[in-house]
Amino acid sequence: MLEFLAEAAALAFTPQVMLFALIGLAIGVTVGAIPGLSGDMAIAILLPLVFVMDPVPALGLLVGIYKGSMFGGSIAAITFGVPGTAGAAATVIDGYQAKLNGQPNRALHTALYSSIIADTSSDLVLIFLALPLAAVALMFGPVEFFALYVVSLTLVAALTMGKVARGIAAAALGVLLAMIGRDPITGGLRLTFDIPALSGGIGLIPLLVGVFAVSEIIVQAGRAWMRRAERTVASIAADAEKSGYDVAGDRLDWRTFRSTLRATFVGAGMGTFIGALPGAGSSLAAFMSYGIAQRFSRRPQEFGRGSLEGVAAAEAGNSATSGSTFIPLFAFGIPGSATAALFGAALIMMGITPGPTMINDNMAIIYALFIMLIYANLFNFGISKLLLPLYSRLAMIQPHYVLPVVLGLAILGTYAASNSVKDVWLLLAAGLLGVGLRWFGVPLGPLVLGFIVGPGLEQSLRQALMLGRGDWMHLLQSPLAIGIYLGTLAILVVFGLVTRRRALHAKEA
Amino acid sequence: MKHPLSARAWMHRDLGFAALLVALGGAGLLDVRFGDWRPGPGGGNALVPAVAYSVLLAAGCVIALGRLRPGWSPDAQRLHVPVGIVAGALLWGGAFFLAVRHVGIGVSTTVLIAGAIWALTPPVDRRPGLIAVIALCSGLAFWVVFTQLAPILVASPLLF
Repeated sequence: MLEFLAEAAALAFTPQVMLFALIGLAIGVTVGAIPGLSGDMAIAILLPLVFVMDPVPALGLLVGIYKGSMFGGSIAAITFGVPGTAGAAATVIDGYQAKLNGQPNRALHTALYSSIIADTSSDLVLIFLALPLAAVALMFGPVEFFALYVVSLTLVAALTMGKVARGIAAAALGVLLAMIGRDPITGGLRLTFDIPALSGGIGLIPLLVGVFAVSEIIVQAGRAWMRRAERTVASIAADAEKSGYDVAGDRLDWRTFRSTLRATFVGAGMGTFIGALPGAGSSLAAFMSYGIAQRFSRRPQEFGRGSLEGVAAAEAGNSATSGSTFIPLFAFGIPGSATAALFGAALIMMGITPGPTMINDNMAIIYALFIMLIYANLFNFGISKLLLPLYSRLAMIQPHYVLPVVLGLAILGTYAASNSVKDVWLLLAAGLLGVGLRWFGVPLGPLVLGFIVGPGLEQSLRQALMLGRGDWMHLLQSPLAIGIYLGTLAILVVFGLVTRRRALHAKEA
Repeated sequence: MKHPLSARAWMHRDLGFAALLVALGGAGLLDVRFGDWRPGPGGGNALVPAVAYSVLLAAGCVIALGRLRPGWSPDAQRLHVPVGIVAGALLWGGAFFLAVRHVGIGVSTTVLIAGAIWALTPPVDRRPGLIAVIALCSGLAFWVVFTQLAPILVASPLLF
């Protein structure tokens, strides 16, 4: 083990890798701070470049983008009341209010500290949990893996708040898209509609970049066209400049920070747990952390009025998902979130197959990734502390200056990955599909998860049925599989009860 | 762009989506039943598509029933993207790719990005100098990345 750690440290601490992590952080904070752009979009667009990079610097770049965007989202949330990312939506509630109360510096520093604490604790949980879970997964056969695939798809759909049927439909659509091309067992073509270009199936990169990035660019272009965002940001910025601001009185002292620690730890625990559940997402984690921290707070009446505890809880809940969201990917090969799906795609492109054997087969690279997850937090802390006063300006960048560049990068990046003209047209088609699904209110995460786990799900189901001589009851004859189904049922019941209770409370309020 | 939508329009959109899912699921199941699928071990290659089509059909029915239920209320906000922007963005993407392949990366990127920023910027806010700088820097960066660092295959373009 120590031998691998030394090798991993030698890989992770090279100047080149650290430089890429820093570049990633800069990109991440920038895209996170600009409303409409996101870390996922940046990772999706840069995925093709992973092909031409060594694995460790490429992972350093992606980790930097991810970490930077997590905090970047809260900059726009606190400074302008516009969440830079979906996960920062809960930060707006108290963060922007704190800013209006003349405490933007305190709110930003609280967000930074709680984000770093929660992020690091979540990374540690990942590091210490992924290996034992992967060891358990090595005992899994087709029946157990089928149970895991079904459960992750169900969780992704069921935890998509208020859109269960849409989430399930999106997952099924993703599975169908994955079925296009040759059947891996019989070799027969299916769902190609006699189009020769589809016989090789749909590539991961055009689908991911198209659905996540191109559709978002089109939506943002529509927003820029309508000029709504500009007016909002401009008017909020003008309001902020008009109000009086006491710089000296807006410093975060140790006593004030200590008062937010309880909320930070609540957020860290809740975010880590929710992040590990496939499909739950950082937004849900942030809002649940916020609600629970309010219940445990000595001053719950201040929540919603600029409470720094509220900022800490939301930001910690959001950031604590960053490490644990990789647990299903590293232990079972199942990406539980869009970000994990993108990292999974990057690993596949590097020749590393996510799954139970991934850590053992690539010990040095995966431990280097763990080290980078931790030191990226420290880099983020140091740089953000230094540049915090400048960060707010990033959120002022108008998206219409960036969108055409990003779309161009998405197109040429996708083409560069395979030099396939077909992939570019598939990318644009996937972008159109993404816009269409968003228009119908369909979440995109389940679609991508369905596309990624589809082949594995099919393989495990057909193998299990072959082992059971066609008897479907064979799928329920493994105690491990039954345990997985029952555990998921318990999680769904608990979430259902919590959601119902919250809805009742909201109605009463 | 999100904007409040009337409950009726919201319901029509949802019912349209439900109908789309039911049609897709139904057509898929008919294709699985009567189409040219290869039987094989473990249910054959039609097994998972059949399950997925059934799920689509069921999800469509659930969405439709949910919307027709009395007391249902719409979400406060919905996504709205002008059709022209969707078509424009896709056409721009296709034109950009073709131009890169036949004209050259540097020139195509500079011209098309400048044009797109110009079109998206409200006339009162247009700053030609800034747009030119962004377009030229993008053209240079794209040229460096896609000809030197991660070269892409292009048939001898007219320019650079």
